[in-house]
Amino acid sequence: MKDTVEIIIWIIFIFCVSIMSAYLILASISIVALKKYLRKNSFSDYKSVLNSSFAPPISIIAPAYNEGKTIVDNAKSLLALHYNNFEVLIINDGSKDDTLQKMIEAFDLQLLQVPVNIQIECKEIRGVYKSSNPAFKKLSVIDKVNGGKADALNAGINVATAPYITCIDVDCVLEQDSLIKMVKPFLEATKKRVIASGGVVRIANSCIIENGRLINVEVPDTFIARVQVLEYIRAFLLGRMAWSQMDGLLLISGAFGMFDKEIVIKAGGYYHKTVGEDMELVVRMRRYMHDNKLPYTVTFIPDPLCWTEAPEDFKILGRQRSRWTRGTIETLWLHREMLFHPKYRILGLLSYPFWLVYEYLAPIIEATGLIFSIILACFGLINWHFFMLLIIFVYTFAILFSMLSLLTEETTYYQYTKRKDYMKLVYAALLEPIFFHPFVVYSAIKGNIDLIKGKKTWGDMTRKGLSKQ
Amino acid sequence: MINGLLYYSIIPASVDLEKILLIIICSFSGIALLLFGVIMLYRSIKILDTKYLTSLRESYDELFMAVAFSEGEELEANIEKTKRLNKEHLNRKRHAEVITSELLLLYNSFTGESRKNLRELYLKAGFVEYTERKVKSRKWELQAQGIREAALMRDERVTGRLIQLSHNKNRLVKENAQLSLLKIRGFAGLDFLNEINTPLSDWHQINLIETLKEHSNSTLPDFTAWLSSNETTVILFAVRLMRHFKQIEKSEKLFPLLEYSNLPVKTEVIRTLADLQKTEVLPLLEKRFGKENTEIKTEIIKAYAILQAQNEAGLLPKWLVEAQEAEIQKHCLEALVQLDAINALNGLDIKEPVLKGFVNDLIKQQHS
Repeated sequence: MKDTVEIIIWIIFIFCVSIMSAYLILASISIVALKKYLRKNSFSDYKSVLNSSFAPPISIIAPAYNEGKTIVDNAKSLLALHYNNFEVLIINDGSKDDTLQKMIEAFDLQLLQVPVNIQIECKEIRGVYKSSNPAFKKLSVIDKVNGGKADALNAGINVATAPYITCIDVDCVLEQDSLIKMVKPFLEATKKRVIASGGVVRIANSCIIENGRLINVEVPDTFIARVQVLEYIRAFLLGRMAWSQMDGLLLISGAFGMFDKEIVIKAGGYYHKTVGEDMELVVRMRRYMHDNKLPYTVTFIPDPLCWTEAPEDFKILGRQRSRWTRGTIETLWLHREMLFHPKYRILGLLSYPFWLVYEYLAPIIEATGLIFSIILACFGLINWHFFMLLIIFVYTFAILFSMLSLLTEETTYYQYTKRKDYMKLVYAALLEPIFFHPFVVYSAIKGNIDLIKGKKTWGDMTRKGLSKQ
Repeated sequence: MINGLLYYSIIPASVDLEKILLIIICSFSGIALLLFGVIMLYRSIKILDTKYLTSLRESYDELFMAVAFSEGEELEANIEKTKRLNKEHLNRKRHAEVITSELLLLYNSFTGESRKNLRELYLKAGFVEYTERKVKSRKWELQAQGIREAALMRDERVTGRLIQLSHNKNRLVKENAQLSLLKIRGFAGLDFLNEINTPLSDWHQINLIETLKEHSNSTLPDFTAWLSSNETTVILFAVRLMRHFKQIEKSEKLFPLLEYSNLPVKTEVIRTLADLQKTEVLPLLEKRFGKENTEIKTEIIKAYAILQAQNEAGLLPKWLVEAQEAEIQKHCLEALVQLDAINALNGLDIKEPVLKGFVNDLIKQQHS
């Protein structure tokens, strides 16, 4: 009995130390990569490419489901992006509200009978609408039978005419120069083909947004959203940047990513049967390239390009985190052959194991540790002094890591210029491990339970909307 | 309670794990506090620095404006004044950066005498030496920065160095040197293409073309000379140059490239021939259509829509009926609309319902 207890405690302890080390290593790689990126990028001349007739066409694909309240503003915001050659495809995924009607009225849309090249499976496309007003000639609205986000994106890919597609959440606010920054890696590549490029997603709650444009960056008013600011900075600046540097990026956020359409189609498009369709697509595209021995890479742009609304109450946050967990498990399970398979190099040997152990298993191990401690306490088997030391050890690491992410933000993109805002983030960092993190762990466990129960839906993601804030 | 269950049996008794943990906790807390302090300090320094640099920029701005709008002795006096001030600031990197960028900004926004005066200031007040020092630097970022400044000020003295750097191992130094050569020498700067041994990225090609636009009025060199380059991207670039600068003479030299194995080159050749209104290529395109993939077929149809005579459908109805892919059908129909030749579809046996509906709509629109 004593041996078993001790082994379990040691597994948890070693896991704890290894996860901390892994995050510190990733952060170090990210910081070096960020500095390198910023130095190199200071020589980029976006203006000349922006206006060039040689700038490649880009199709923006934005699925919309029951977005009647905000869809017109969102579409206008997308149409106002700075780029020479792009089209906006809004996919009305069988909305039950007046999403389509609102767009027809606002943009003078007319139904066209256009042959659509169905290269990826998707639900029936009821019609393609184009505007009779030349001011909105870049806009197409695709009305289709409801099939979920992945299905809507696939429909958009079938209709898209450009070689590069940008898949976004329709309610996101994109920076005006986001397209040119995202397409740059595709155009710069000469040795390897860039198949996908991910961008940083930032939290827009409480920011000042006018006519679909971000005017002023503010720290969110609520604690939950504020903590998510820290989470996103840590994940994007100190995590994905490192994976991108090692060419091991497995996830490009569904909120904003650019893809090589040809490879997306060859890989089979978005997979309908997962709620983690964004991660699954990237993994499948990478597998396709590996399986066909084609040189390729996936890039990541650390500039803040896309702003999204974060959940501000625990109920919606819980649904989101549960879905993320289900998406992760589903993707990892679908591509389980990659685990430790040398053919997939860093993906199979490092990225996949990292996701499995530190992203998927971490909350389970953490919860197990907690339950185990309670059991030990019940039996009077716990060394309280040592237990408290362990808790403080983990807490101080969490603070240290958040401070490191804030320093990185401060010395790179410096989005939160007011001292007051910065202090709010520091307080959030101090409180996060106590009031926020346990809920995230709970939601992840719930995600596992939901998956076992066979839950396949996204769950409602009620949003307050970003415009006119 | 079993005291120390966690570590007594695995860790040797001589190792005090509690003490180690305490040390780590103190270190983590210390580092976290240190990071907090560094952020606060960094922020404060940044604010003070920005304030100082803004005031420096403003004072120099006044001086630069005075130079821009003065003449004769007054101009000389202003230049001399700047020179004296520069002795203090041009040796300090951050100051020098701010001042130089301000001068370059003003130089770019002025024309005529004011621009001339600012150039004189650049040459006489120590700025040119500062730029040249950067060009000679061993640090690639300084080199690239210097190259850009030299190009903006059309400093021909660095041309020799730029030619050397246009084949530099560092991609950014190389690309900036190539762009600067074009800025200073115009089309003559394209000589670097003769010795190129690394691919030109699409991004860089676009930048090069945009830079050459500034010299649109100069005599064009023969771009076809680079069509036989060993580097595929140089061929692609040459075709793009022909298209952008409308080099119609010798454009028949593009015909053999229709059989080139590289897809982007082939695509660009078809686009260029269409843009240059090279109708002689039509029979060749018709001949190649059946052998090509969807992407090239699409390009051929688009070119056909430009090159074919108005009201004449040519082979478009045949391609439309035979096409398996909706993409080709769609482009054939668009081409027919563009050529005002929809009537050619009358009596065609189209079975696919969506396509049939679309064609009928188009014919109805035509008649109304």
